[in-house]
Amino acid sequence: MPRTMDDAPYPPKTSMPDWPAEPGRLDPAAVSYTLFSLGEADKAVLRRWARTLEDAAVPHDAVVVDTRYLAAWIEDLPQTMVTLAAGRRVGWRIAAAGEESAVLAVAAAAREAGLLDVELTLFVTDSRRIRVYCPHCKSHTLAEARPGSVVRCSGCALDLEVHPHLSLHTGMYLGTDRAARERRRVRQSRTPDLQEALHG
Amino acid sequence: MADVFVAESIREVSPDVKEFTFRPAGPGAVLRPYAPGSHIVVEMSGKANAYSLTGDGTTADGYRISVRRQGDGGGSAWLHDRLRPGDSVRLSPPRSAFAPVATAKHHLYVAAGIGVTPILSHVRAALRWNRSFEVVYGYSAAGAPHLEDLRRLAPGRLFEAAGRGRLADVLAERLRQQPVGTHAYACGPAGVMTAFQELGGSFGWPEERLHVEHFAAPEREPGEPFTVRLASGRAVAVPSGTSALDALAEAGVAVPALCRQGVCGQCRVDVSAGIPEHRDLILTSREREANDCFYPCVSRAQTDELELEL
Repeated sequence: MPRTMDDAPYPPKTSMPDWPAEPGRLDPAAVSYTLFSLGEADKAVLRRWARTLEDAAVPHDAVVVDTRYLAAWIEDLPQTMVTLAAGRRVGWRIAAAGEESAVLAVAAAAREAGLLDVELTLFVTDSRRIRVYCPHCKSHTLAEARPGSVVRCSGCALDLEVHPHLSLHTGMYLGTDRAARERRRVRQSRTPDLQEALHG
Repeated sequence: MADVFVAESIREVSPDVKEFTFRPAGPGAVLRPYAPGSHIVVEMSGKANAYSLTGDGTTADGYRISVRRQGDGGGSAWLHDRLRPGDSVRLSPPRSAFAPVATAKHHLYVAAGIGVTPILSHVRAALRWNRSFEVVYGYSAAGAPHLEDLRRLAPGRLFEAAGRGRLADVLAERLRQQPVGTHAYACGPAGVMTAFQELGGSFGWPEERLHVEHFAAPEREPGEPFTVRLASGRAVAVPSGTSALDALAEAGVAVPALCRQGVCGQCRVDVSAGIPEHRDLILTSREREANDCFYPCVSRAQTDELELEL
């Protein structure tokens, strides 16, 4: 693949997530927690988190979503989070472990509900699937992909090149029309001929 | 920096508090719209004091401050006893160090005593911009400046507390009742601010949601000498009792600065190596731990040397 602005060593890729290697510690000063176990998550993480909260006498509830239902669950998440947050007080925290696509979606919905990053504990156990945003048709696609991959857009069927650019606001990576780059390359390679035809 | 303004009107707010309204007078003096919670620096015959603006930020009524008289020799006594309507003073432009958080779902404003001044500004702005808010106001029998204003501005969402003990109870009750996404802001004596932060912390509030406005910077020790190293490799010695800001200026490296007391944040410098001794009132404890910047007006170094990105 040719080097692009995205691959350049500088400026740094600040929007790429830097996931912790170990599940984070929960805050015993919290008023309450909602724990999420999403898709191919290690259930032991959830159990460990729940145990520490029990020890600290922090009330908590848990949401466990099986991989089979994850895609549909993510689509409904904005509304689900509004329901979850209703009536909660400051002091509520969220901890989510599991598939990157779903962890990012939980974080985005939690921020929308008013939580700060310090009130979120995120742990990714599986980075195979991500959501890719298509700026051409504004739909998104859940797919096995990483930055550099090409994904067929579920909305407009364009082949999207996935960029190392993550929106924390939506929890999606940016994809752009791969053919646009091909077309530009063709145009550039033709330019000398054109110059010749015009002036030669 | 400062421009000439004239005192348009002076009004007694409570027995020891007067309200001053200023209009631009000198060349270049203009009223600048400001973020709620901003302050101006008033220059008075060799002294300079910062006072919170009490308006909603649109400046239609001029710059307005309320000053409690403290002692006899200071700036507040000068304003109370010497300044007459029509007199000129030099004022800095507004500086914002206590602004509302734009993404907050709800705002809890906490005022104690004369700390009500920036809170008044917040309440007026919240009403103008239709922000969701409530106010806790603690006052003493000796005086409750602007209490009538708050009662008129925030009926049904003003929680009054007469006396320090009552304030602690009301504060605890309100801090436990805030919906997710609330940010809280307090201005008052040091004891009230400490209680605000400790109570908030004990009820699960992260410090990022608890905002405080200090009346005055604390007295600071002269500190140990250290060296700052610039990106060019050049070393500048900072002796005990001299700020890094002044040492750098002496060496011909001008860092833009405003308050010079670790409050405004203007002089922030990135640190690439070494551990600062943070003495500012700006960074949160998490931000301090990052050790990637410091405020040379007040902060010093724990290590012998600090490498700066200057």
